[in-house]
Amino acid sequence: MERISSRQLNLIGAAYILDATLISVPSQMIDVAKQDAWLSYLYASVVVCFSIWILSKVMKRFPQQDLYQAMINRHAVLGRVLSSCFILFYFIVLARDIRMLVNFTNISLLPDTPLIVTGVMITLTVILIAKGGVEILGRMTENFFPVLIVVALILPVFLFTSYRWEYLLPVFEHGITPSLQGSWFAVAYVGEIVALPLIASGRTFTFRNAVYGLVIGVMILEVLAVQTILVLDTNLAARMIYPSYELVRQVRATDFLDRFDLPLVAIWLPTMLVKIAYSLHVVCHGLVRTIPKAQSQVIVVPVGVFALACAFWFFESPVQLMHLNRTWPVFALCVEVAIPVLLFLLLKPRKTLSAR
Amino acid sequence: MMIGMVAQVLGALAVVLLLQWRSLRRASAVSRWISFVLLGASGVVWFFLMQHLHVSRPAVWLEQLLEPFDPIQ
Repeated sequence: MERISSRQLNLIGAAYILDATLISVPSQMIDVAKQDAWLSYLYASVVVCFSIWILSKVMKRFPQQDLYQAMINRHAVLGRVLSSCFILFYFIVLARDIRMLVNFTNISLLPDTPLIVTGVMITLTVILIAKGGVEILGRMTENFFPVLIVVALILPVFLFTSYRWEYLLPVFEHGITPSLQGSWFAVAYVGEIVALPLIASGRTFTFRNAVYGLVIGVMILEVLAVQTILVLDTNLAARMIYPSYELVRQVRATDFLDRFDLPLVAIWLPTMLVKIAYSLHVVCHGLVRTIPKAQSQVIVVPVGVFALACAFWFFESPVQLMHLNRTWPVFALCVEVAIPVLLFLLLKPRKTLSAR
Repeated sequence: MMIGMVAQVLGALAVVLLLQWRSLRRASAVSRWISFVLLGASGVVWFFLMQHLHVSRPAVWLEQLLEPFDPIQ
């Protein structure tokens, strides 16, 4: 079994939370929660923290196996059914993320390039990354993601002069309900971190490692959410498709570097491609565990091609992607919270004769 | 028109198969079958999308299915 280090696992967890969330839910969250939108990530992370605590308890019982192996080795049929739920969930996430990145590239960077050309380029890159296996994913995350963290943390230095503190106040103007409603949008994306036990063994996936990833990812989302509100105001941010991108467009280092957003997007884009490759790896790894004699290296290309076809079939437009964000958490919570609780009950340690 | 569309889809799939041919020959039968089924399904989806302007979208089905459980509708 391929191995990844604890540090790589932390970063993969954080990348899973951060990369797609930046271009998906911020405007809807701000629309619902207004100036309290930054609190929504905190509530969502509490739910996800519970889920990874449950999963860490399950994985502690299987130090040499990943979650797919643990499920299938213990319950051949039911384990395969539950594995299929994870595979289906991450396949939809994969198709959605491909489409989301295609739309973002089309709207913000290459408006004249046909969608399919962008889609093929993205899928080709993702397939090549995922073909290398989890070790390559870990190393690529170590290369690119720390740079994104640094950039996200130095953004306040450039944007500080544009802050309007009154945009952030009053806190809890309409009580706690709006921020809880905002967390409904965030929880599905933050909860994607439950992919970690599917690709790492119980020895690597510990509660502490996963929580470090959760904290890093949510902390950067918080930094960006607060700045979006402080710079753009809730009324404006709620009407944009990509308020986080609009935020970095406000960065102007000097008079001649007024498109400083492009280098920033160039730093984020590889991390997003690697994030999509995680989902492709999770799907292929699940198929290999579920179907005997299937080979991950061989099926990664057809699964990637099929995901590209589904990315264009499932979603008609960026608006439809945003509509789905409203109902998607129902399915996501079943996979991210309900199945881990079920696994905790199903995969109890076997009683040995000596224990009796 | 229709032949052109079929040719485009088949051409794209042929390129993928050509690039994959060496690893497919060495792969297990199960992996080969999974590959052929998925590539075939991709071709059908592409052809379907090129042929029809308004197609039924799984995202819409999913939305309709999950809408009753949405707490903030």
